[in-house]
Amino acid sequence: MTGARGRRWTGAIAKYRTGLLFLVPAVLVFAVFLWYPIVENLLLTFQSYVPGFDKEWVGLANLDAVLHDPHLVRAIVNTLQFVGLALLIGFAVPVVVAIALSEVRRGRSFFRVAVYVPNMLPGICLYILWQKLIFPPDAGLLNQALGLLGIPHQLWILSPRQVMASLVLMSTWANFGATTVMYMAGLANVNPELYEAAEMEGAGFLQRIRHVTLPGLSSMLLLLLILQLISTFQVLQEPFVMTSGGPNNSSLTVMLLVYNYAFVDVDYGKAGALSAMLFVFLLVFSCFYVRQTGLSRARGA
Amino acid sequence: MSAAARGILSVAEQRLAPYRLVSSLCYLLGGLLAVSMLLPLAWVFLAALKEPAEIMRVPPTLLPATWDWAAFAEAWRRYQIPRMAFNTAIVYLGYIVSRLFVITLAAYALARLAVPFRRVIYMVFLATVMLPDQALLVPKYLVVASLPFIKVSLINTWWALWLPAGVSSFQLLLMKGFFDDIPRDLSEAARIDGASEVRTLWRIILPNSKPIVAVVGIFGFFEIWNNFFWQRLILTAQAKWTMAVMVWFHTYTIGGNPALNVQLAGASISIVPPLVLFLVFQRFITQGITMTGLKG
Amino acid sequence: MKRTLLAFLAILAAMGAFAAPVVLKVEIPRDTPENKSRIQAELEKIARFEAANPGITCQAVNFAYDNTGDFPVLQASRQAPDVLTDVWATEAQMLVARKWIVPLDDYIATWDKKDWYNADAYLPYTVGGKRYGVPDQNYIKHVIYNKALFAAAGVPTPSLTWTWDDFVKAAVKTTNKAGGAAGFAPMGKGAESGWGLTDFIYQAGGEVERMEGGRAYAAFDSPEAIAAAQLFKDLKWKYDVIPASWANGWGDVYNVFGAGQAAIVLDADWGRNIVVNQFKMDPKNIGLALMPKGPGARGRQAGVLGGSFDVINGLVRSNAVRDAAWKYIIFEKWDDGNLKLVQSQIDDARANKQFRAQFQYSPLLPGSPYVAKERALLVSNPDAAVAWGDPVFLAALPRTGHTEPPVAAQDVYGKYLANVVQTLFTDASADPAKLMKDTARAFQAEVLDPLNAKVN
Repeated sequence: MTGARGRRWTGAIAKYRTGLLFLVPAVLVFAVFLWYPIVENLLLTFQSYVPGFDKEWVGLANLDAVLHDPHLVRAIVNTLQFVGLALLIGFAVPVVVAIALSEVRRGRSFFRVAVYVPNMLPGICLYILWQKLIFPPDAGLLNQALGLLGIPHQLWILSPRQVMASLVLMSTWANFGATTVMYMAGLANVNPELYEAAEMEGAGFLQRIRHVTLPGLSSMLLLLLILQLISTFQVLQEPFVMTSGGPNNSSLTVMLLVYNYAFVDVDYGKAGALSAMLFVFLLVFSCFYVRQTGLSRARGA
Repeated sequence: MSAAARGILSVAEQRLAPYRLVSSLCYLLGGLLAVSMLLPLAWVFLAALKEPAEIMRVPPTLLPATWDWAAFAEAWRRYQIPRMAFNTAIVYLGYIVSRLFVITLAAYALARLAVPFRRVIYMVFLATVMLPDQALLVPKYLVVASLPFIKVSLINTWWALWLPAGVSSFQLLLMKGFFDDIPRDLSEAARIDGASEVRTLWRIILPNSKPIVAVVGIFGFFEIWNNFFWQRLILTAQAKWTMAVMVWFHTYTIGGNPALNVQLAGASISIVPPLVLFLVFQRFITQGITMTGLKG
Repeated sequence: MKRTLLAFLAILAAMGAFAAPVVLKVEIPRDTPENKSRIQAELEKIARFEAANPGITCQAVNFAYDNTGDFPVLQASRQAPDVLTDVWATEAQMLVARKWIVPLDDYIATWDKKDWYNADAYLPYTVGGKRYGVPDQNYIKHVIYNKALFAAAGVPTPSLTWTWDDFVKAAVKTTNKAGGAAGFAPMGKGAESGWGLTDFIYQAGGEVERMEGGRAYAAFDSPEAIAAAQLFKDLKWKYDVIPASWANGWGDVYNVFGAGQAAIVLDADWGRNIVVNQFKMDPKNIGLALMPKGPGARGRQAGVLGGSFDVINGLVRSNAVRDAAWKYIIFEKWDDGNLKLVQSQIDDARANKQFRAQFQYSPLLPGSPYVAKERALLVSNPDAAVAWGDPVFLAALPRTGHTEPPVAAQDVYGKYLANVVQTLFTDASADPAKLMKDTARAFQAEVLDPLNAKVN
């Protein structure tokens, strides 16, 4: 390459050289262990794959089979239910708790550790805990607590109507510690002068939260909201371990359906198709979200 | 923790009657939460001391009728705890080195260096975390079984755990946010002195990045301590297993499972390191997150 | 000159082909402390095999077949063993559909021990008229009960021909909800729940599927099958003998039984290992009974027949390796070398202070000398092995075996019958007749018709 154009090109290379070099390891690792498998998975949508044999192209057959699966609608509805409940309960709880714990003068460290403990429990503990100790309809802790308040015993995961809410409860309990700790860190960063000012203007407790605290957390809230949405749309562990999708498919989620396709039906084409559909949906959703909320323009981006 | 003497309520306000109530409610909430978090943990630990039949009893009991420490000894032996702890430590070290290497360079590049299409690159790193993990299992496994171009199999080696460690968009983001906030004059001074970018990174930025490195280190630890799924696929020889796989193996496979109290004892033992780690390093987590610049 | 050279090279190549050993990937258990003796015994067997077959070299792979998804992934990277032992009966259709196992009829025809088996032994792995597996262990589902709970409630020992009425009476008497004990704990979660309902459908005289001209039709909308569904509903709502937490999976049911919270459960062969080893229940306290007989003229005592089988991996391309695999399957099968393996399991159990407690139902004809030797071995190690069943029970058991549905069994269990069971347990107003009819129709339309369309 010669001439002005060439100089501009080499100029650009020189300017970007270090930056690009620094990006090489990440790009390499992401490409080999994430992007390539993603492409493979997207291609699987249009293939029939029996491990050990060559893949065959089957066009839209997998998509067709998935879209005609009688359980698909149920799975989508259940997943939306989980996402919605997780938003109501699972998103609000860490914020409320973080605010409450940040107001506590003494023992904050203790509380911080306490809320994080469930995050560290291995799955087996969670399973036994909730299955044997907390949920049982006859003498589990939850129903005993309700009994103290005079509320009749509930069926929790044994009831088709309550199972999703129960799983959200369990999931929130297990996971809210991590985000709470993060919010507490964010809250510690809110400029106390802003509170002073609000206090001077006569704002009450709740008003201060609304006008000072929440805006102070806004970029963190936005980011963690989308991350939570993405993660709850992919919910699999809880229904898989606790209910296997029951009772009567009331806790069958989209990812559980994918898991069943892959590991029970051993049909990777359909698994690939459904997970690709979920991926495209989440991608579009996130782009829309980022644009609407201006997340990428926020300081952290 | 925070030097601020006030939160939403000032010190003076807290003595006032209505705000006393709010304050008390906060303590109450904290207390209830602490109980609901720690009581189950205590139950798990105490259940390991019970006979299996007692664990299953309805209504559930808290304190064991018989204090049987044998379950812990049995779990120690069957779960091969010393070996597993050693393996997990080695896996963790490689994992964290690999991850820090990859994302520090990339975060620094996105934060400080001239990079074309910065926003696009950033979004690409971020967007791809949206594909469900389970779906990627088989393709990822096939890649590891036969790496592109070099055609080497990493099955049953720890490299299969170390190399993909760099794939963490969230931590990349956190680190980039952190670097964004480091005052420019620090690196400017180094540049004027003629230091290369690598040297700047190594000498100036990283020593000032202890909090975020701690955050990455701790989150990385939690990732491998409990995440058995990928590890068990890759590691076929039990001598190479990590803690997570061992706990899973004794619980979810059919055949030769130890008694329920032994399983809970094994799980209890496996909670101790993360718990200790968190206790010791929680300040760093808070500090590190604060400094990622995720604010309003 | 050139031609001689070529000929020389050709001869060398041919010699190379002859001389090159066939490499056979064989299976040994995962190396955990629980498997020390067994692994040792397997390695010794491999050494003996290699000595007896000089052209074959074995490569030991630590593997145990289960349904946690390892096997397909290993197949994907061709790391799975060439010979698989201990493959579950319920996997047969899935493995055949994916060509992951090969028909063995030609090999079996050459085998001198092929007639040592019970008539039904090959059935679980007979798909489309071809035999894909060699039986290693069989089971026929039957009832196990807690003798102490029965005695305390005044329930008589189940007779060899007990009926649903007797069964219900026993469950009712042993139920003590206030004391935390239920009479009968069926599996209520996942595909196992459908598997459990199937037993009762068979007992009522019904079928899950029927085959006609090579095509499959849903058969569980019959009055007999509906009677089974009605029984399940009554067990929950009329007699209230099942646990309040009824969503028990395969392991949970045995946890419940082992903790003394249920008096009766159904077992194939392995569940009692949990009960004996994890809950330290005394084997002598566990009673065995045949399945109860359903009502009406067509009622019978029936339990699902299954087992574990030896198969050859369908990914094996070379005939030489496939032949080697067959040789490995029949090596020391049903002779004293096999007893060494059983002994090693007993040794492992002893070393871990546990029992080798699975129900040992041999697929061989009852008069077979091997069966007697195996039983003697178990009996002579009472501290570490359990020999279940008295001669009368064992003689009566074979006639109660009933094979699983021949087509799409896992689908009908997990996606259709499981829903029936769960609906019956959650909805007191569920109508068993309508439920079964609707479900059968759905199964036919969604699963069987598309499969039938592929049959010419």
